[in-house]
Amino acid sequence: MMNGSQWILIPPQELNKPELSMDGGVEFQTMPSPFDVPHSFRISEENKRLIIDFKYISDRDSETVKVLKKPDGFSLHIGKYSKRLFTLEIDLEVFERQYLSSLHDADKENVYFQSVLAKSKDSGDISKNNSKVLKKLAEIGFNNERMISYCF
Amino acid sequence: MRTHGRIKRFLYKNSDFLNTAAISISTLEGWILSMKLTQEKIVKHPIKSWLIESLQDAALWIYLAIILTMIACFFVKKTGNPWVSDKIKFILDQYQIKSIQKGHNEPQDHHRVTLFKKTVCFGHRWRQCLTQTCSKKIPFLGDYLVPEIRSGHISQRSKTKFYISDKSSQTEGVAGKAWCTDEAVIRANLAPIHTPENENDIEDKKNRAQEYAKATKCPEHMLQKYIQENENPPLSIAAIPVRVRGQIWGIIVLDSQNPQGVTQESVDHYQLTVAIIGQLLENL
Repeated sequence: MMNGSQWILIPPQELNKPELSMDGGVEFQTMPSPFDVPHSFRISEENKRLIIDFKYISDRDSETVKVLKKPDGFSLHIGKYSKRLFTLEIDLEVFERQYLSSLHDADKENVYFQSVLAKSKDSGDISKNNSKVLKKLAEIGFNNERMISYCF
Repeated sequence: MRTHGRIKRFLYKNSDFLNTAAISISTLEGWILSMKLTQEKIVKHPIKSWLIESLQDAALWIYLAIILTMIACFFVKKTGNPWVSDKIKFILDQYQIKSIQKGHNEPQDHHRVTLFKKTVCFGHRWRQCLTQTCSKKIPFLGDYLVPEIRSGHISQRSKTKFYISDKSSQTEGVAGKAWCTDEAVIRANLAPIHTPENENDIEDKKNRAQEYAKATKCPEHMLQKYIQENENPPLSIAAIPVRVRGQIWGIIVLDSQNPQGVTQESVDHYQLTVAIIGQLLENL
């Protein structure tokens, strides 16, 4: 299914693209804070649980991490203060029963990746900036063949 | 701006020893004070008697010195490890050299990297309001971004403070914007206040200062000194939030007199630098 627990480097230029934002009629160029941008991630499977880990420039030891268990099979490991997503666990049995029964096997990996990150964005538990970056990462995951070949 | 003199460094390095010594001396002094000079053992030895009497007479001053030493050690410890400050200063110097586009032989204060720390200031803006016109509603006690460590060896006496508020509309400067959004903010190609054409035109300078203030969210009174001293404020600025243990601790501000001096690359290529500063600050 996927390439074990190998860390996959994320090309920084993909996630750090500056955006223009308006404030009081003035245009500012903004970029995600370097602390919100994961530099690598890994996907592994253990006991029918899909685990996606994200690594940042300041690691998870630098702050307390709380685990939020969701009823639909998701567990989010989130930094207490920064509200960054460090780990995302999915109970595959629950997840497949709920979301994937009608899909072909070939589509499943992609659906995991996209749904998981979309879910993290919707949950409101993750900081706005971090979820914005993760959403971009999900989009790259689909369009970047090198990354997909690493993952699946 | 954070500085560490010789005395501070000595106190920080030896604070554990000084505290132990202070406690030991105060115990010894207490024992000496409990002695009676009329005791037979003491009376027989005139030198011993003289020494005990002197120490008893000086007890007040000895205790005072002990208390002052302990208080000094406590506050020096509170100000943080000088070694960490030195390392952060070194990193900021390197960051300034490598990240900002500049010409040859330009003064260091034309291109700076400054670490601002969130600090509560008492009555800072209130004092300003006494002397200048303030349009904003200013609290007596407020949070400000205050310069902590700056690259280079000049422009170290900066008193610039940016007000940060719970309301994003009230925060000041590009640094304040970065604080509110928790994102890196870049503002380049700013128009100068002084140009060769407006050398004697004060009105034009004032208008330009107003435009600059609007473009950078900077309060206008901050630009007065630039008009008076016939200097230009930074023409390109970038502000990057620094987190310590997951929480925003302060902002790193890169500013340059070159309109293209600070660019996207100045932020993008030096993420690791910002991360290392954050990790060093955990030990400050």
